[in-house]
Amino acid sequence: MTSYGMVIDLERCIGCQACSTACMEENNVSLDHIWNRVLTEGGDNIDTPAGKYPEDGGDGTGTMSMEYLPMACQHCDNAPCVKVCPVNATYTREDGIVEIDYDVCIGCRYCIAACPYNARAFNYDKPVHVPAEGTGNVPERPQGVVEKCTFCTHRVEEELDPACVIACPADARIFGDLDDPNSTVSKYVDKYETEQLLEELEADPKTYYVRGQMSPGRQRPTTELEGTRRKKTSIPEGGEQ
Amino acid sequence: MSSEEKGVSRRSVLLGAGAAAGALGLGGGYVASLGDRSDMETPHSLENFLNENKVVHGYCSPNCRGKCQMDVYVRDGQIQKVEPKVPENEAYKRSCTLGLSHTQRAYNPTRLKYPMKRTDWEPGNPNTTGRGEDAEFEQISWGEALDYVADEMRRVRQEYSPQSVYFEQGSGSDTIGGTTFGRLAGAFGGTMKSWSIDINVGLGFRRITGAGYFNTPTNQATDIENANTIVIWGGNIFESRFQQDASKVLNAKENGAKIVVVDPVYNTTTAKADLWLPVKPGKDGHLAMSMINVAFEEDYLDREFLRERTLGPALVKEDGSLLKTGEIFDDGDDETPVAYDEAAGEPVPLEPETYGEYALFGEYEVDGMTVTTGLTKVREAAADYSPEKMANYVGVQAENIRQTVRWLGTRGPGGILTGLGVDRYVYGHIFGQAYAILLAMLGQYGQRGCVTGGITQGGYFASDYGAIEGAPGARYLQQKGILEALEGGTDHPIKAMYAMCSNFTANQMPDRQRWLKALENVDMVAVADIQHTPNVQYADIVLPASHWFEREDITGTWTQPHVRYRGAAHDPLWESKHDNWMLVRLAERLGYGEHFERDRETLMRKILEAETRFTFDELREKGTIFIEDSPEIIWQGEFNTPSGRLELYDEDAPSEKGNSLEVPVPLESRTRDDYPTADEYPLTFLQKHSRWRIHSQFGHMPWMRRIHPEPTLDIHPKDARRRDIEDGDYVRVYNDRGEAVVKAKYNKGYRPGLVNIDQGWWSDDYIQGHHNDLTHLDVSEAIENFAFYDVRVEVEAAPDDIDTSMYTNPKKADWLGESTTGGEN
Repeated sequence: MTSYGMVIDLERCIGCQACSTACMEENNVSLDHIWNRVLTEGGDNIDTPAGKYPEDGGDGTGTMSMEYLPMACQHCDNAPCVKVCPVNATYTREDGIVEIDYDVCIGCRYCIAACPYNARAFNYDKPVHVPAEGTGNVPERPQGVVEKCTFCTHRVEEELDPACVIACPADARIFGDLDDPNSTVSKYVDKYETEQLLEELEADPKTYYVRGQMSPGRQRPTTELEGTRRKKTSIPEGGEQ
Repeated sequence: MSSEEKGVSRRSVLLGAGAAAGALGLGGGYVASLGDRSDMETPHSLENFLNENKVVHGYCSPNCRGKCQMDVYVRDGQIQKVEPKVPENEAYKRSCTLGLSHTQRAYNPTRLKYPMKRTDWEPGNPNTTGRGEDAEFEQISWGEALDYVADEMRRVRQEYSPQSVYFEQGSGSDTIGGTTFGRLAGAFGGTMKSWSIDINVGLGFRRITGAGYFNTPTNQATDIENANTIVIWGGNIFESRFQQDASKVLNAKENGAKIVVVDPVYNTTTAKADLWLPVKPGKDGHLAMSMINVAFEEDYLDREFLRERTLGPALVKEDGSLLKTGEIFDDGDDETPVAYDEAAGEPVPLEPETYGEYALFGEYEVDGMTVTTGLTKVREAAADYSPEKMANYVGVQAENIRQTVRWLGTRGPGGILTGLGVDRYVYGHIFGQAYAILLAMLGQYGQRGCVTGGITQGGYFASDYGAIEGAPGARYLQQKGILEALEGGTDHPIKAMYAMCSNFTANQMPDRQRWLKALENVDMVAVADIQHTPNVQYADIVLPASHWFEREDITGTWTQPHVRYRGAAHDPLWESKHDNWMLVRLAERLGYGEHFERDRETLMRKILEAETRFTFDELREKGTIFIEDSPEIIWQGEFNTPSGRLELYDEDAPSEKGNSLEVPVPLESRTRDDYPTADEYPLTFLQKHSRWRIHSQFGHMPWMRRIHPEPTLDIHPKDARRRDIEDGDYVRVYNDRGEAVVKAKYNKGYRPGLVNIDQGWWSDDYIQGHHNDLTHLDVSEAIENFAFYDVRVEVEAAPDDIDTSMYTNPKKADWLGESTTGGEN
């Protein structure tokens, strides 16, 4: 079985929002929404720390802190959104990705109420883009449906890593098959201190966060899904370039 | 596919849902069979256009030094997406949030569409006070625009001199358009600028090492991972240059390197540090001297290195000059220094790259002269800077100063990775000198894993296309001198100006109001740019430039050893043209047409003619070529200094405020606690480089605006509350020169007494004022580098009658929803 998951190394993440922006561009996300948000864990404002400034000249790394938390759909194995959808528009695929069939979605938004990660967005209005024609490789969603991170299924099915993964300049995001013990994601979950968000809710997310000791990150510069033919661009038919 | 086509309407499903749930006897909790899709044979496939794209070679080229190579995805004639390209040397794959968002820059609503003339400007009647925010423009043809520019340039040359025409090249993009621009300025004999920005630390460092200008050089970037200790000094690596260095510095850390961050601010880079030295603004020179003091006191001296490669053993006379061989040997000269050879018991010539048992300390009598060693002079200079003595002054605890030097001195190769923060204090060059000496004492040059600065090794193509033989050449003035020429106070006042990819005068120069006033003396200002920047509002003739992805181009870069090519994704939008197109036609009008090339491909081939390692066709096909000759480890062999050694004693030193700088003497300007205006303006003001723009580029990008929608003042809550300012209140930042009204942002990462407004915001982003209305033009005698951070301000709550509605009650932009990609207007 395949079970796609994401490992995000928070020791490497520098909060640059490249993943967030690449997602918006790839998936043609309306300016009203965000699928992948990068939160600041620190002060009340974005890019600010918590703690006390060491006016005594001390090393405030002990008393001050600022970390970043990129957060999108966690693709839970026990997804609350899947359970509550009255029309089966949201479901879990064989490969573990939680997907929405926009044609079936009735916009009731039970899933938004159910998701504890605030991962979903509802198209209250028609989508808005700059440029107006939109961007990326996926059609826009119509007014009236819910949307969220898809783990870039359109790329995964073409043996490409998701857009956020290849955009990260800190190599902090790794994607792969959690059911394959030799995949990087499996090895990192095994070797490093990882956590799942809101573990106590038992949604069993397939997004794992490394905290504490830094991993080597995504060590491949190329775009292919791990274990598939090597690719240097996001043109599936293009072959290795 | 719409739901209508599928034959299922939402209404019918809604009506059905309740009935279905009821039939299954489930109240509204888990609906087992409806939720279970695992029996589907094939996963649902989202419609995608991946295979319909074509990839065009690209690269980004603002002045972040990255020139990151990119893949530009084009479909149906429009750019859909930009991704980081995997270059020939795959270790250099990189890009940043901004580079990845070029789709919104290429199709930005602020793009200039056609040539324009300011409505109240005419040759002979320039009405120069009409420039500015309220200036209005009318569309003209390219022919008319270039005629105006050429005619005015010729007239000014006639009435004044060729040097009275200023060819201003900004740093917005400097690939082949820049080459053509320089060639034209040289042909004309006009004025060009040399830098008064970001050269402070580099030039101070250069006096010791022989290299440095914009920042300071270090090994090739892939070597950073080998460093054992990296002291990031005055550089917010993970915010302002993360595209090139983030993953490599992180890898170094993962390999076990100790990361020390020296910065008054707790920012993203500080957050990754093992040790933070929260230095007070402007006191970096003092801190560096304190580290030198520790290196002596705890003895981390690399004696072999000092003897072989530095002027540590060089004998210094009482008058401060070096003893030269010509003074004591018959066959000597007046350049080669002298050392005292302890084994031989006599003075000997001190040649480059030569080891000897030279004395590093002590006083000697040579031919009746009392001399001491260079290293002794450095030790004397640092004697009063013990960490215990300096801790309070510099704002760093003594033990942490010691720990940093201990790591640098005992953990093997490592060093100091500088940013451009310290540059922006008047006497920042003295820090450059001091840290160069510290690293010399520790032997941290020329090995794998050494870090001596912030500019990693780049790669270039060979070219002999540049100046025209026999051309008069341009007059170069440092930017402060440019201002003087604009104000009319020199031999050749500036009376006409062509600004290319520059937002200097109206947005980026310190003491902005003075520049805007000076511009009133200029009869004709032409501005060529991609976007409608604040500088465009000060133009008489506006020339729309095409976006980078609309033009073929080639470039090398510093910081990364590749040469790269970019192709055109599509034709330039509207009537925009690439810079060479404009400049060649201007050159033709000025009579230099035979020296310029209209056809861009022919031009690129000419530019690359002298390159023997690869051809233009090869470069065009591959997109990137790795420059293998680019050194991996620098500082091998003789240093490019008069002695061929690291001149940790510099006899040719300049003076500052009466202090001769043979050895460092840390100095400060506004950051002194006893500075005359310290009571009235108690806050030090920096304008850091934002993550959401590159200087003033990438303005008005919706993806970036949603993250940082308006200019803000980073201020510590303590400082804010003392002034009755709540988080999110609008405030007025002011001093004698001007003001800026912005939103306050509580930020505990800022040392109390220090505030920040990111630089690069456009004048029209401000409710009132501008950050550069607060900065000044005071520079050091030696370097003349603008000191943007060496500024004092006060902050108060904004008056109630200030109209903040542009942010508090914004109107929806009228271009939203309209196509910005061409069409009618």
